[in-house]
Amino acid sequence: MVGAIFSQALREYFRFRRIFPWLLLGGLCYGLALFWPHLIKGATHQEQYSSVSSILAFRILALSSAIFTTAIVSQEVEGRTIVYLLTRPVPRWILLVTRFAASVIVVSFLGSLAMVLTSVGAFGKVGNPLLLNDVKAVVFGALAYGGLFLLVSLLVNRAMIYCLLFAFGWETSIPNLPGDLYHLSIYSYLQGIAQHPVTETSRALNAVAGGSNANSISALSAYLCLAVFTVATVLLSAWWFTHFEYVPREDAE
Amino acid sequence: MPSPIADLSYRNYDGPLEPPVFRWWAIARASMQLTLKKRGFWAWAVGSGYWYFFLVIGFYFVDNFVPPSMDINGKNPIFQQLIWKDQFLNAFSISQLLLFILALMLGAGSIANDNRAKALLVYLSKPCSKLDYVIGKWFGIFLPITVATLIPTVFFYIYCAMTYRSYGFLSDDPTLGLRLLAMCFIPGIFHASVALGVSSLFDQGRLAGATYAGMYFIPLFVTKVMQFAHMGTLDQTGPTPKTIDFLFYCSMDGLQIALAKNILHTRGSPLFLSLSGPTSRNPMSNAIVPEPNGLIFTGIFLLVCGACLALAWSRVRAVEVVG
Amino acid sequence: MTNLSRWYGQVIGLNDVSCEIGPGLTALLGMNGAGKSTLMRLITGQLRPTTGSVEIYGMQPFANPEVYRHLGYCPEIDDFYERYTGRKFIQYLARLSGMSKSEASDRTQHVLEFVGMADRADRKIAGYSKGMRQRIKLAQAMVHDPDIILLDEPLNGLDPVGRREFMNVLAGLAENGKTILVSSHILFEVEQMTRSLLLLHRGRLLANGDLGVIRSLIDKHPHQVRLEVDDPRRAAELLVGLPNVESLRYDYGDRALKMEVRNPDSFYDSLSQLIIEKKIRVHGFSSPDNNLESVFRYLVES
Repeated sequence: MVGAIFSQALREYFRFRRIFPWLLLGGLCYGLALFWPHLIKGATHQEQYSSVSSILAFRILALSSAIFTTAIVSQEVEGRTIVYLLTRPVPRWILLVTRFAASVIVVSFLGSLAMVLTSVGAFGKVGNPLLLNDVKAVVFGALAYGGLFLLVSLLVNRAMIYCLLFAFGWETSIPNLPGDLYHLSIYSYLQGIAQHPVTETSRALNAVAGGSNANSISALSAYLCLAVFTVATVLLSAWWFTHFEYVPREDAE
Repeated sequence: MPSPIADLSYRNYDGPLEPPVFRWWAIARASMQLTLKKRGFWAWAVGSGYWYFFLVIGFYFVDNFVPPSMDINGKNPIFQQLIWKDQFLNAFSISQLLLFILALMLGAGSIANDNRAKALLVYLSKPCSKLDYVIGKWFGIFLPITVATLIPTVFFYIYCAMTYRSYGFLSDDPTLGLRLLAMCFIPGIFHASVALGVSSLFDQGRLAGATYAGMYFIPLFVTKVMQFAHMGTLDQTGPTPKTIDFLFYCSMDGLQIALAKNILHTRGSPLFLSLSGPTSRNPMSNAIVPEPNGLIFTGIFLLVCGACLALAWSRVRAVEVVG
Repeated sequence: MTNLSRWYGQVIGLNDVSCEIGPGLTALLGMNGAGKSTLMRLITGQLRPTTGSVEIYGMQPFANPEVYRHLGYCPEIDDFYERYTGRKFIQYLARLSGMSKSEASDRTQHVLEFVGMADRADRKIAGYSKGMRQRIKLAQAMVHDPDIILLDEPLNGLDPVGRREFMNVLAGLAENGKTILVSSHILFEVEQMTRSLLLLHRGRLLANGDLGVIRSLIDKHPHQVRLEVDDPRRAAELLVGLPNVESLRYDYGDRALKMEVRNPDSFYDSLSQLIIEKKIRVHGFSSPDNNLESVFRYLVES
């Protein structure tokens, strides 16, 4: 049963038509990394990679998570196919968590692909010293963003708008606020895992990259915080989905 | 015996189109009635003019709390330095995100939801042409966004005209009112066209919204990078390469700001300029990317809008399940 | 169902409904907005009751997998995973019902044959006609062999032949002891399927039981009887003396005697006796309001 739900969701998310725009965005990462030395004179390969991954690849992670995770329930509700799923002898929480797992895999794949293409653009090769940590950050980011967006999609209509505002408003501004407020941003924890070196030449772009503050989050505490956050949001989502109604709307514009 | 129905394409009505004359308006009105019922629309629409509200409050404090000893010829020095049209440009730039959210709310599902509900079949089998449908849907997005842009702008214009005439608000640029009017149509035209084009590609509003959001946010980040690159090169090597300045305007926001700058004939000035001194001494003045070539960007604007409308036109067709 | 009510904000969808549905085919009738779909959604556990309760085999259905093992639901909506083939769609839902891959495959083939879709099941659903889509919906509701099948407006969009086949399928299932609840507002079709009905109007349960019994209980409206005879004047003279006849008139246009009678069973007994004894030649006999439509009209009017 779980296998059927998982493989169906995975096939749905990995359809070429759905993946294609993300491949283009991966190409944009590659292009920007390649073009970077023309924008910032004297930037090293590491700075090239670090800046583009922070500015673009991590945003692609948040965006893809917003889109794929809100699809877990909203797509079925809007497509009105949720009726078929909710009237089967399968516990709702299993349905939700299994589809969530599939979405995390897709988002992790897309985020990692963006990182790899950035690396190729910056270093001219797949591997670089920062890549492994970035991929770990991507996986934890997919889990944390996914958990949060999943919960939001269950709580409110038009969840996509709120998720996008979070991904591009909150996540770009909160890490730059003074004091300890950056702890309220998932992105800060991802940076804690990625541990990108801060250099003088990249400082000008730190505001865009969300790194104006000295991030004191260690990798270990980032892993722990994101894991706890993910578990909490997914548990809450599962409880909510099990206890509340999800029936299709009849809303032609 | 021949069938009484000679032509089985009767579902696509191609007979004479009798009154009501403004069939597109009926569709636009239906869309807008739905819009006005959404509480979110009112929240974002009112919120989109928030920068004007801040300006009014800021101006009040500047007016009342700058000591008279600082006055030059009996006039407040801050208001004397102010470039009035730049205040409108700044408010316009700042409202872009909120106007985008409005467009996302109104436009993403406009055709997609009809596709899903197979409502196109209903629309197009009435004495209502494809043109009526597309124009009606377009107006259903265009009008609310334009009104949301226009009202705070007009309000602030009247407020300034009545309060700051002595600081050259009217005399500095007598045609400012007309220019602002033109500027206020940009977001409506742009978002209505693009949202309609994107929406026509999908049969779920959510997917159309996601695509539209991706098209908005990702280039926006690239734009921001270009802005910092612009600042960086100014600091390091002098004038910025034209490609960087050009790319700065290559996002949804950038394109609209480019047109607004051209309409208002201004390069723009940093926020809070009046509180920190003239442009040359303002550390943020490097962040101002110069006014781009108006002809090129008007061309791009028209091309994007036209292409999206053409896309919507080609995608809108009555469909039904094979019978 | 016990005192079952469901509110949507300030709008009442279902109002204090209490009844039991047993094996066999039961029709759920009502006009648009009567609360049929709300009742279906409450029984299938998609909605929670605002007050009262629904129980299936003693269990509350909302989000209860145990209930769904016994329950198949064919919704009114016309939405599917359009990119799937009919077979893949049914197989997927069979897997969700806990079947192994091979079991799901066998069972899918079986139900596809049962609904007459086996030869077209490998085409994408997007290309299916309305009738094919209805059959696929029925197949998915039956794939896990449930004891209870709920069908929301299943005859919509089917052609006359398809409707007849569909009704035969339902009758077959009902004969096999399944509990089938069919919602519809097309009365003459429902009448061909079953005499057992559940009638909703404005959220309230107006009637529940056998059509004949319900009709006989509607005493506000005497039964109408139409009789075609050789000699209407003589027949009228004789009939008017029967104890349950309320009124009698001759319709010249229709060339028939039209009567309103009380206590129809007793009337029919005395009528047949009279016909034999007095040798009345009868060419036609009918009871125009002894049908579902009239019952529905009388109950809704009242």
